[in-house]
Amino acid sequence: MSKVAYDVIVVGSGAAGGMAAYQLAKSGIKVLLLEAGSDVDPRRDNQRHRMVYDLPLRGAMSPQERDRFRINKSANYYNKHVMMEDAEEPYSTPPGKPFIWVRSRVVGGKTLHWGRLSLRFSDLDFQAASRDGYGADWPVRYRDIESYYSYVERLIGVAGTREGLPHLPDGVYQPPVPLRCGEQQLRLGCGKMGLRLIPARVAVVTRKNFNRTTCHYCGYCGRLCCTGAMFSSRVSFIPWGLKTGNLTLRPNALVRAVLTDGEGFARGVAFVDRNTRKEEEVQAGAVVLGASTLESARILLNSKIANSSGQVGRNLSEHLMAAKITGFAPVLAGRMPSYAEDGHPGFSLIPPFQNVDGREKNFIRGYTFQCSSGVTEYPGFAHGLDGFGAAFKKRVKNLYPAMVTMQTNGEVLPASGNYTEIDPSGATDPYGIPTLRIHLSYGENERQMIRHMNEKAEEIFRAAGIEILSRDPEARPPGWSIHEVGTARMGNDPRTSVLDRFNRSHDVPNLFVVDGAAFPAATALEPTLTIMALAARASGHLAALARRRDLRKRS
Amino acid sequence: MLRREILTLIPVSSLAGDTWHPEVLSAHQDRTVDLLSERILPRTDTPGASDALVHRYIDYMLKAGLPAAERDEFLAGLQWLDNYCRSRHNRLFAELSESDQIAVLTTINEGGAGAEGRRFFSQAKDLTLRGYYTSRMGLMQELEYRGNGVYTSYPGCTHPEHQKPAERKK
Repeated sequence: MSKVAYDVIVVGSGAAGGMAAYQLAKSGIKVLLLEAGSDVDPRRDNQRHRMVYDLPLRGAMSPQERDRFRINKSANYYNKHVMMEDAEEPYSTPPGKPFIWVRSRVVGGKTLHWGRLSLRFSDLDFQAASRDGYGADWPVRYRDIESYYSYVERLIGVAGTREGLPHLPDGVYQPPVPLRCGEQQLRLGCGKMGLRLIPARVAVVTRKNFNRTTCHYCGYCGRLCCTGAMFSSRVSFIPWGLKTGNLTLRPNALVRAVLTDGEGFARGVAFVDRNTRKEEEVQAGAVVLGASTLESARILLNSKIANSSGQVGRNLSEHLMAAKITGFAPVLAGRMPSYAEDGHPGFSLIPPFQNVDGREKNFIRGYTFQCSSGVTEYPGFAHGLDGFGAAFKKRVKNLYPAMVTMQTNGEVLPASGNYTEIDPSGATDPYGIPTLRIHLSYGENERQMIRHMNEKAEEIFRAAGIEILSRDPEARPPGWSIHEVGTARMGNDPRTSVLDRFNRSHDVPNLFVVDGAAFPAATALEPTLTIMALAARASGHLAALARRRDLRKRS
Repeated sequence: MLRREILTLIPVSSLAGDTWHPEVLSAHQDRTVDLLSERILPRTDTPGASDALVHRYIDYMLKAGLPAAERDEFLAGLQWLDNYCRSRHNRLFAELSESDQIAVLTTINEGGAGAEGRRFFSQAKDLTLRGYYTSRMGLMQELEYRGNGVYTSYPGCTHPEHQKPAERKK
C-alpha cells in the first residue's frame, strides 16, 4: 500500500482528466494523475512524413494485427500503438445489439487522435428538454459556462470563423482553414436551400506565436500530430501540469474502485498496476473521475457509491452517424489543385438546422453534416467504379480532385433501454476487475431522423450540382461516433441525477466526475469542448472548496 | 513473433531490384498476375500496373498482408481463370493476345462467366488498384499527389468562378 497521500487523485488523462489535473495542479493542489495506459509522445512516436509506398504493407495492418482490433475499428497502421486492443478490456452486449466501444489506453487518451471539432453548445441544447418535453434539462445555462468556453479556446487554440448563429455560439478563434473547392461547391448549394456551411472549428494552431507550433498542413491529423499543432492533452495539459511541480503522473494504473471511509466520503482509490498486476491503494482528500463516459460509470458501479438516484449507468447516449453520401462535382473534374489539398487539418460543417426555428414533424432534436472534399492520399472511390482498362484509369484521375463526401452526427436520445451495467454474468477483465455490459439501440426518433438525413443529403448534393456516386443510408452501429455520453448525468435534483451543476457527486461530496458521463443529453454537437469547459469549471469549484476546507461539507 | 509478422516489417521498397522473385506465386502465376493487373490499369501516357510492379505487391500481400482465406481464394481464382480461358480459347490467360485478354475480362466483369468469375475479378481489381495507387509511380506520377509535405499556409479554394453558383445550361 502506498503511503504517499495527495490532495486529489484524478483518474484518466484525456480531455477531461488532463484538464482537471492541470487546473488543480496550477492552483497549488497536490495531484496524483492515474492513467490506465502507457505514455507515448505523439511528436516522437509517429509515422508522419513517410510516404505510403515506403511503409510495411503500404500502411495497412497485417491480418494478425487486424484480428486484435476487430471491435476497435478506428485502429490503423499509424495509431495502433495508442489504441486499445479488444482483448485488453472485454465487455459484452445483448444478443443482436452490438455496441462499438473504441478506446485508447495512453497518456492523453483519445485526444491523441480525436476529430478536433470544438463547438459550443447553446441554451437550445441546455434547455432542450423544456422545449420538447423529452429527458432532463442541464443544470447549467450558456451564461454559466461561456467564460469557460472562451478560456478553453484560448488555451487549446481553435481555428474557425465567427458566424453569428445563435444556436452555435461564436468563440475565440485563430484564423480559419479555408474551404476546399468541393466544399465551396457544397456551400453554394446549401446557400440555395437557406442552409449554412462553415469551416469546421478545429483545435489546431493556425497562427504564429501560440503556446504550440503552427500547423504545417500535412493532413490526416488522426494519424498523430508530429509537432503538437493539433491539441492533445498529452502535449498540452500534461506537461503544463508537470511543470507546476504539483502533479505526479502514474501511467499503467488501472483503477478498480473509489474507496470510501465510514462516513461515506471518498478516501482514495484502489488500482492495479498493469505491469506488476499488483493491486495498490492510494489515499487523497478528493477523487476526480475523468476516465471516459463508460469507464467512469464502471468505476462508480464497481465502487457501489454515488448512486442513490439509481441513475449511474443510465441515460447512455451518443451520436448517430448515417446517410453517408459520396459524389463528384463535374466542374472540378480533371482540375488538380495547385496545393496539397488533403493537408487540411479539418473539414466543414453544416450546423444543425432542424428544430431550431421551427419544429420538425417527425422527430425532435437535430443533427449536423460533416463535409469533406478533394484529393486524398488514396483514391478509395475507385473501388466503387465499374470497369477497367485505360478509360477506367482516366476516369479515376479525372474524378480524383472532384470528390465530395458528407455524413452526419445526430443526437441519440437518452432512452430507458440505453444503459450500462456491471456484466450480470460476473465476467472480469484480465486484471480481475468486473466488466461492463452495454445496452444501446436506436428508437423511432432516430429512425425518423435517419430518414430526414438521407432526404437532406440528396437535396444538398442536387442543389450543389454534385453527382452521386455512392450512398450508405443506414446508420453505423451504435458506438461508432466515439461520442458516448451520459451514465452519471448532472442535475439539480439528487433524486434524478448523479452529479450537481459543478460535476460534484450529490452523495459523495469529495467526488467529482468531469468527463462525458456528466452530460444529461448528447446534443447534435461534438462533446469534447464542453467536457473541457465543464472540467475546468468543476476544478475551479473543487479548488475553492479545498481552500475553504469545505470538500467534505454536503451542499 | 510469427514469421508472417516479421515479414510485415520488411519495407515495400524491397519489392524493387533485379533479384526479386515471387515467394507465393509460381512463375506462371506471377506472369498471369502481371498481365492481369496491366489489363486493369494499363500503361497510357503514364505508367501502368506492370511498370509499378503491382504483381510484386500482390505476391507480397499474399505472403503477409491477406488473411489465409483471402489468399487461398485468390490462388484458386487464378486457377479458375486459366480453366475458363482454356475452355473458351484453348489457351491459358497468359497465352492469349492482349485483345483476347481484354475480351475475356470484359465478359467476366459483366457477369458472363458467373458469380465465381466476378468475385475473382473484383478481388484482382481491388488488389491491383491498391498496389498501383500506393506505389510511387501511381501516387506521384499518375495522381500527381503533393500531400504529406510541410507547408506554411493552406490556400483553400481560390478559383474566382467557384465563389458564386455555377451557371446552369437549360
